[in-house]
Amino acid sequence: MADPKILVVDDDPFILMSLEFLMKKNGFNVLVARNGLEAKQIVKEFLPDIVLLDIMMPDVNGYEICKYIKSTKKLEHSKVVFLSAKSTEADIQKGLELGASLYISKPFSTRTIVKQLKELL
Amino acid sequence: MSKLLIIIGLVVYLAILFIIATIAERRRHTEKSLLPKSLIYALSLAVYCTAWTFYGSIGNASKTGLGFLPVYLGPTIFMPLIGIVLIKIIKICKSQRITSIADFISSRYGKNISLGVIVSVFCILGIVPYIAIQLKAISATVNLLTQYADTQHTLFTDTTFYIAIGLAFFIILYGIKNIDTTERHTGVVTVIAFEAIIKLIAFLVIGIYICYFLFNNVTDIFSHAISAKNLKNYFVLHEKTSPISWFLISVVSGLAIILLPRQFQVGVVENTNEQHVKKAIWIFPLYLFLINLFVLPIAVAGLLYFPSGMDMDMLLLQFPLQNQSNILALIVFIGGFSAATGMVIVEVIALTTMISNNIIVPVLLSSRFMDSNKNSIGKIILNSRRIGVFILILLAYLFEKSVAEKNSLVSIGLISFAAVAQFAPAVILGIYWKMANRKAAVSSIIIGFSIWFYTLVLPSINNENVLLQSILDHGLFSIELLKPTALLGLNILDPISHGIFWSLLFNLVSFIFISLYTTANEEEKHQAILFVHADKEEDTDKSSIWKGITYLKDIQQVLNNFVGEQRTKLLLEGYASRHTISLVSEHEADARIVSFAERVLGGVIGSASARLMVSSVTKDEKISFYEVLDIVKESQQIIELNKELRKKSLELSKATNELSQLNDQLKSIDELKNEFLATVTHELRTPLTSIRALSEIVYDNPEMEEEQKQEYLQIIIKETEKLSHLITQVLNLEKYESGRQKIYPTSFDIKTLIEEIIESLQTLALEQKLEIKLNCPNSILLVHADKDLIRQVVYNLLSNAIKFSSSTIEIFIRSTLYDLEITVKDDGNGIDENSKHLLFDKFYQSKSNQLQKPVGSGLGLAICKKIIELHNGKIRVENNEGKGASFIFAIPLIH
Repeated sequence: MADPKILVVDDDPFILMSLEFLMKKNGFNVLVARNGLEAKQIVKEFLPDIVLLDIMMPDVNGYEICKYIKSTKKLEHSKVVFLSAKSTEADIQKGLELGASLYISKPFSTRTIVKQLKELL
Repeated sequence: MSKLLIIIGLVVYLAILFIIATIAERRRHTEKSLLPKSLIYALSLAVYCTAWTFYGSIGNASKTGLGFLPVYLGPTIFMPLIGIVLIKIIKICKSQRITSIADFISSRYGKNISLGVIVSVFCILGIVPYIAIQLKAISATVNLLTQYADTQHTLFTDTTFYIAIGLAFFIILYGIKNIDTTERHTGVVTVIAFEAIIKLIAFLVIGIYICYFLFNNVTDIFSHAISAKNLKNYFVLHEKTSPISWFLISVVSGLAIILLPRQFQVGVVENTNEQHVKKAIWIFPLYLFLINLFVLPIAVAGLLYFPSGMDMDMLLLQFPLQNQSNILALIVFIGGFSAATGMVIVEVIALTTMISNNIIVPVLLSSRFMDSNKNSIGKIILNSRRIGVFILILLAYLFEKSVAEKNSLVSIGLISFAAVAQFAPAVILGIYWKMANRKAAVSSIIIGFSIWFYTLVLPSINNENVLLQSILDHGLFSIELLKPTALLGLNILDPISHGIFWSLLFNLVSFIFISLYTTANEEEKHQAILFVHADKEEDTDKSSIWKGITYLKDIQQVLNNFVGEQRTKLLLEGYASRHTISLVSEHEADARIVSFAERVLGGVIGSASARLMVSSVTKDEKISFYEVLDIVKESQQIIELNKELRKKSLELSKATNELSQLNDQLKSIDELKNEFLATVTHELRTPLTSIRALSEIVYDNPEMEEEQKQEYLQIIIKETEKLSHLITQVLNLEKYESGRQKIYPTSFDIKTLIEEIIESLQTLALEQKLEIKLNCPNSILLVHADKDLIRQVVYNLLSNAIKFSSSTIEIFIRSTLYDLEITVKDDGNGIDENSKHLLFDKFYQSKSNQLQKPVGSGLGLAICKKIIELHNGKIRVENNEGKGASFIFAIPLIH
């Protein structure tokens, strides 16, 4: 079985760095994107199993990308997971309503996040 | 001529009068009267012409030529004025139900009883002699007709006596029918008008007879007169008939048209329609002209025809008698009889009304008599009036017998005129001048009458009394200046004009003076307004308002006593329906009903007594119009207060609006703060995330390569610093936001400060291979600002410039008149036009080309903006014409 594919989207380079290391360490095929534009470009070809989305990003925010993924036929099997410092009840609700499978708040624990993502698969 | 013929003639004549009176009474409520009503009114005014006119004028003319004229000229000339005054008086009397001159004056000056008494008494004093001379004329003419010597005869053979009694009966029958004196005596008035016609016809007939039958024509008479030597002086106006005298007598005669009790009665009380006055204004003078047409010719003819020494007053009868013309003599007699009786009837009616309403009723009301005889009060009043008629006629009869013998008709007539003229100031000024008050009225009338008595009555008394003679000759207490016929030395006037002059002068002056310098009470003031404004007032219900409780049944009872049950019912129901008031006996009477009842009673017993009566059944005091005005003023004040209140509450709601707006503003600021907090939390969590993640990774992967481990740890440390810095900035910014940041301005040289900052960043600039240039004037530039804060701003801008510049940074210092301007210019990529306005927002961070994460917190520029704003300055960013952007801030030089 091929390694599960995951795309990580965040504008903070250190978070991207840490997540990239983490995913690689735990057997994921990982690609990163620093903004929405990059994300859209990669996702169509990469066709990841999971897309890990930051919400607050300068150009296109995470919600838009989620909507884009959910409306693209090709990506119907891709699961969206939000990863954000915004973590009020309303935010979580909104994220889930948009079709996210999971909502993880920052700061996160490296130990639990891997477990959560693996369970999704 | 036999007595029998006279008696038959008289009886026939009287019968005609009674018939006319009865027909007129029956027809009074229909439109069909014997003559047009306006004509009857105008003719009734001719009751002014009495036996004086009929006989006396000729006697006067024979002595003084044209001297008889002023008495008729006066009314003729003043007629329009008299008409205006009459109309106003009529209006007042109608609405206030005033029925005599005494009641008028009493009512005007506060419904004062004593004033009513004074006026009534003086009227009697002044008029009884006048009545007496009418009786004298009748008796003289009777005696002449019957050739009856005027020697001693007893009461029962004296024709005058019987005539007097007959008159009394007529008056009682037709004059004192009803207790309510506002009732018209239609029968009497019609008879008077009829008698006026008879007088005129008789006079004209005899005039024509004398001038065109006994002589050829009028010019014939005068040409004869001129040729007769003893009459040469005749046509020169008598020396004592001076213009002043003419004027005075004209004025007094004009006043008499209104003030004589009989004139007031026919002119005001009996008037049914104000419009009739307008017709009378020309009909009455016309009548006066016609009836005086033949006076002078007849007088001259008499002087020619008859020997001197004869009683010229009787000239009119002498002519036909001497010529054996009995029918003509009878006609003349009837004419004179009409003239005399007309006067007596009306005068007595007027006087008894006064006596009854102003003297008897007040006395009755104030005495114990009333309490036991409440129910028959009406009858009592009527009977008292009937008795009054007899008493008056008796007095006149006695006066005639004793005093009137020696004086001419004219002189006594003029003295009566002068008497009633004393009421002129009180009446005429009373209806045009609100300040006229009761004290003035009482004083002026008493003063006027005293002088009248002293100058006019005293000299007329034909008594041999020594004291009297000495006063007449030498003045009171032998003071020449107090001589009755030459007061204060004035001796250019004849006695009568003299008396008129002084009495009226003192009267008028004292009236005006006392009115100006004394005060009136509430009732007077109220009545003053009512009277003076009578032409303007349509609504007569503006009388004083009765305060307190009056039960309708009490009012009804009082009215029943005076005007009878039926009439009371009629009056009250009529009034109530006109004013939509409900009448329930057990309830309180509406205040308007009470006022109406008072007015009705006023017509019966005079306004002063009416007021007393009503107040006796009212449980509280009367409130005057002025008190009501005060209440109204008070409520006006309350309305004003209310307006103030409303204004204030409007202001209050405005203030509340402003407050709620402010509240909304605060709320939005609060929201902004919450937003800010949310953003800050987010920003704080971001470095925390990488710190935590990287720490965990290093910890969980000990087999990690050392280099990578070092790299990660380094990142952790840096992020911690960043976090710390961020927190500091946030707290800083919050200080500015909340206004807690204070500036501590000092004066310092800006150039030096900037050089310091450039110095401190020089190393960093060199690392980036950047050059910093400073452009500024050579002089010292002192600026008054917070040094540390300005340092922060310049440091921040310079750091940013270093971050984004490619080769050169230029700093410009420039000062204008008002402020200091500093520019930090870089040659980087410039600012995206769309983001320009976001630059100074919190947490805004521009993305440079490098993939590095921005070092700053994103709050730097925001803090700069706050600092500059605290200094009342402005900060902005511009893109350069070439490369890069310029940050410019300016702070005022002078605070």
